[in-house]
Amino acid sequence: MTPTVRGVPGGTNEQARRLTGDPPPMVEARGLTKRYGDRVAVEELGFSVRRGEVYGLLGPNGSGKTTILRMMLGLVRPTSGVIRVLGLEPGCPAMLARVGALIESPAFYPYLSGRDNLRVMARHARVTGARVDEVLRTVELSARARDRYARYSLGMKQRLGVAAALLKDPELLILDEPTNGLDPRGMADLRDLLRRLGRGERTVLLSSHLLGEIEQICDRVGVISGGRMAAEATVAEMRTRAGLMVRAHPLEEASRIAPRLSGVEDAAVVDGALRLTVDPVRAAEINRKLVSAGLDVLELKPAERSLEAAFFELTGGEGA
Amino acid sequence: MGGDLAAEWLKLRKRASTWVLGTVLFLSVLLFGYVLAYAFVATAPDAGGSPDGTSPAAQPALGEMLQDLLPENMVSNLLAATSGPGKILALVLGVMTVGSEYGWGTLKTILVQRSGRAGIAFGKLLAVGTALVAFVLAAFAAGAVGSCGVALVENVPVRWPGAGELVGGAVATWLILTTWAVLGAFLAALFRGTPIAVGVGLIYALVLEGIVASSPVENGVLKGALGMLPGQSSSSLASSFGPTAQSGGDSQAVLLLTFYVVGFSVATSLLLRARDVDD
Repeated sequence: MTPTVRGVPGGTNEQARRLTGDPPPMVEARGLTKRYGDRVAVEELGFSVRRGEVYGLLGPNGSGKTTILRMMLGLVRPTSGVIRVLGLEPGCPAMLARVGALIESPAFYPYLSGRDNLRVMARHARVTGARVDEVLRTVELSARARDRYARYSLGMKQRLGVAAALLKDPELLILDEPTNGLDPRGMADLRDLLRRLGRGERTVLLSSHLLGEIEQICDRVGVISGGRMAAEATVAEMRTRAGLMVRAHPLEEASRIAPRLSGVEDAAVVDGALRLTVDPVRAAEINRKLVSAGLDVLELKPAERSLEAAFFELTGGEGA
Repeated sequence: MGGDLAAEWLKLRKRASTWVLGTVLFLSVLLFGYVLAYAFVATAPDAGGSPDGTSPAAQPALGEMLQDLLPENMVSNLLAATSGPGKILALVLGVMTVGSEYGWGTLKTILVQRSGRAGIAFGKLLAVGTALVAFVLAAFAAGAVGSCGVALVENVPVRWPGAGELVGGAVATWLILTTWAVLGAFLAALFRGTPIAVGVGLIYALVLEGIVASSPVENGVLKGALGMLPGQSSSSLASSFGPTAQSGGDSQAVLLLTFYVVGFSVATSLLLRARDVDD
């Protein structure tokens, strides 16, 4: 069955794009599934990454994030479903020429220097040697470029991995847990770098199990749980998803009426206000009904919650 | 594929173990092919001088052995010396080139650059083939040094083989080494790493082929089939050079070894293409 696109009932994604004039997504997955024997690593996954955004794949360890990225790069073939990167088959040379990637921990030749490792990658990528020095400067490794990779600290290895991903000056940068193993300073530096890289036309797809990292860097986030897409939204939407905060008087009366209102799934008193689990688009309707019930509505706004709370809610309490 | 070859060549050139293998080949040709062989000939007791001495029948054999060590017979002696330790060293080089990518986890890093998997595979094998040209030169350098040394000690004039024989011998040596290196690369791709591939390769080269070579098989078809194995074909090609060459054996061996090089190369490429890279 062909999936539909919001606002274009019955239409395919491609048809919808033609009608709306939207640019094609940088990454698009539909019904993506990967099984290893009886174990399902990724199941019926669908998502898309738009041009120019910083997209975060957030999920606990073992949730299937790396498998998704490997399928995106053609390292792993899906059992079923479709995935297109830049509209192309994953892993084909035309697609790889426009994509830079760091998958899991960085892996390089221990006997070569950092610079020689990048020279090897540059030759595979058909990139000039001058670009090697540029990316070394970008990740601030020029001073240690002649040291053997085996002598690098974890942070330096990670930066070399990012440098290799940047060699092709890619349109799409895919980074899997890029701050893994870094000290707080290293993490902050790398996040600054990623924010810089994510500005402008470049699209960045980042996977992480660190909520703070996703919150600080990403525009949009897909929450993966058990190989499935639990939710996909902007970070702001994720915080306010399905919730309204209502200050009404008298509060006891409000907490008695609110659960019976249409669309409200749950109501709880939090810090002297009502927190309603409901689609925030119903705010005006809920306001009307509370006022018509004789209540004074002092304040009504989308309920802010931490991304952490949203994450645990979406993943059913799985640890990040 | 030019970029892949250049990348693989850079890796091989800068890797210490490549140089170690080349040096071991040089030294083993010099040691086993010349130093120990000459020591054996030179220290053999005189035939008629002692009751415990070499029998008169052995005299011509010793003379032939000495002749083999002189520069004019360098090619045949080199091929005999190289096809033994040389094939093991080439096998290890092949295993190392592909197997280390699995061990270090670098396969994923190079596969997300730009090349297709077949390009990466053939780039690797071409780089190994190029490195083996240097190995052949090292073996011939050892042969030149060793045979000149024997000629000097024996005080006989240095006469080199003809250019045709030298080139033919170099190509044959390269083909033998390349067959074993590509077999090593195939085993590394098959077992996704170095240790098992080296173990299986050595057991095959040293034990199984040795058993085949010494087995008293009477059945003609089976004997013919066993004679087509890489080790037997290598020996057949090696023995087709020099004064005691078996005529007609070389072209079949060349064809068989070429078939193995192509076959193992394609199989290695197919393994790299067909499998997920998920470790």
